[in-house]
Amino acid sequence: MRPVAFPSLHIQSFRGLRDLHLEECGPVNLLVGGNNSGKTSILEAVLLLASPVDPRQWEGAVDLRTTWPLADVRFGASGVARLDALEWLFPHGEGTIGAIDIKGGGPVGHIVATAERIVGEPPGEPIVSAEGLIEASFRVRQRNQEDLFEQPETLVEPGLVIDISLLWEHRPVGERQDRFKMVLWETGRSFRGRVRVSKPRLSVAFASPISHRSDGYLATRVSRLLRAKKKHRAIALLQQLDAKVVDLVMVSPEDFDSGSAIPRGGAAPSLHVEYEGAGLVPVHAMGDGMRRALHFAVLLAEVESGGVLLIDEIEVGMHTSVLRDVFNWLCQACRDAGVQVFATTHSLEAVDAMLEGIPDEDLVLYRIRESRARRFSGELLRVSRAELGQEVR
Amino acid sequence: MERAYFVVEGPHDVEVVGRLLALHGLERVKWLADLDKFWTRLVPRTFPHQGDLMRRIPVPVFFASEGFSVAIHSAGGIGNIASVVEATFTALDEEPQGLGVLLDADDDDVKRRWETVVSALPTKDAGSAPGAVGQGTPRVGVYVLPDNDTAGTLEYLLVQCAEKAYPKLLKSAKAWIDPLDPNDESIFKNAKERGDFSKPAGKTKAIASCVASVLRPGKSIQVSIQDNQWLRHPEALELDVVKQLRRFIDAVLGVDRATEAQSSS
Repeated sequence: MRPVAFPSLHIQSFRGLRDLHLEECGPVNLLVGGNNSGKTSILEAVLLLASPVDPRQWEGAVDLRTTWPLADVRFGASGVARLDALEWLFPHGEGTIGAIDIKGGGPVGHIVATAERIVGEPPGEPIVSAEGLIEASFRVRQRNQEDLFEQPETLVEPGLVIDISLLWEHRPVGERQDRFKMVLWETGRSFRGRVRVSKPRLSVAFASPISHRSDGYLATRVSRLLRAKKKHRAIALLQQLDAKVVDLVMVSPEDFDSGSAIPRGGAAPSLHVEYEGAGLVPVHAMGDGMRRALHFAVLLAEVESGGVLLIDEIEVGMHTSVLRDVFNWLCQACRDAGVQVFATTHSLEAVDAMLEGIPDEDLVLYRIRESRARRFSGELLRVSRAELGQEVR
Repeated sequence: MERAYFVVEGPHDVEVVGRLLALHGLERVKWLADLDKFWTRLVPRTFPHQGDLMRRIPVPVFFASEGFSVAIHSAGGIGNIASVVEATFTALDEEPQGLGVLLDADDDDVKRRWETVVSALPTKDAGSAPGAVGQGTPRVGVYVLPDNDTAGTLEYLLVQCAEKAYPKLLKSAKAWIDPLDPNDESIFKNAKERGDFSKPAGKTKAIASCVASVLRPGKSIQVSIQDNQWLRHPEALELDVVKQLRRFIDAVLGVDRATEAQSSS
């Protein structure tokens, strides 16, 4: 089996999961199980483990389950305090908050993190000190237009201290542990990626079941590709799926006063796909399936070799008749790029489509139930599904 | 509730196990609504299976009584048995308490067949010899038909049953089949036709089928096993070859354990 970022995963404690082992992970890992079994929590755990000392990753883990920033902004935020949401990443007992403890079987090592509520004054700027202190805030919650122009007042407010230990068993004694303290505040100055964290980081991208529906989100991701000079990768991937795709471009709304020397200001530019013969097609006019495929391509173009692509509810948006071709395309692209996939699904049709489109040796399925994982190798899954027609979800 | 899972080579074996289970009051489960939820994952929900309009849906046959719940899968050949067991044990949320495997030894050494299957099974402690049942969890045993000793098939056992239940019919069937020569080209038109008949168990199978054809004309032998006296006749049930198989099934099923639990309660 080719090398993967996570040859195994042991979640000792994270959200509601306790002592969950995913042994012998493959290049493509499907997670199935009932509602509330912890499938999405596993994706979140992988996300954190991939870059545990990056505040944006903690923020991202919180955002995976919410519609923010895709829809809630329009309705004045979700009403969920984000520090509360962050705190719920940690295991909760009766009146206590336990430690997060996640171990990856590969280069990502092992993290143990504890959380403590504090009250204090957020710093004016994000801080990353050489001593392992990282202090940052989530994005300012903008409830209305007026707030945008108000200077944030300096107030005492709640924060969360996360104490993170990174452990590497394969390193020499004395170098096996790094310790960081991260302080996150609900409001104040956003981290916004201006401070780089150089500590361990694995290239990772995440597709939620709804993120492909946000035009702004897709446009932002394509812009990021453009800046990183990786847009051609996404286009090449899309061309494998549809040979008529020519380009991904941002286009402003049509300027009717075309004779004017200075174009009128209008709505924000939106993402378009340029097709051979059909010209520019706005993404917002496309069907769900194409948008999801576009999303996958954009994310995959972003992830570096040796990284991980996380997909929640992989079947969302796609008709069953195209599942096999899309999965075949996606997994082949991941194989070519050296990217490991963890994906959840509720769909037996998606499982069967994976079996049809992917070599057995690349596929592993885990059924999650009460923090226990039943592992099906691709070969065993083929017997169970194709030969015996069994229910594996 | 004692639960056991049997994997057998073919549909005839399914009916034999089912008949012997019936001796303990287990009945065939017809409706999904009546099925023990433990087994639900083994029921395929799509047709056609693998797109094949002719293929039988690979659903196990289920039997149940108040204290027992059993699924019997026909694996379609010795080579599939281990993978069927592994897939089923992975698919189920929990393992059943008993696992029984039935195969025959038509054209191979009994011990070698037994070792081949035991070494491939994902479970440990499958007993010390053909027909023995290990006392681990689950209880596992591999039975080589007809009697864990001599080469043969299920039909060897059925013919012995017919000697008790249908002696006259058996005599007629033997008188017709025994003189037939597999190499007689005036009977068998090609190699394909003579193939099965020329195997070691060919004549025995044909004799058992002849008896079944009279008892249930136009029906398969498995229907006859269900309906007729092969494994109902009191003297047939007392044959050593049948009692040995009954002991094996009872051990996998945990009949003694269930009886003990019942008497203590």
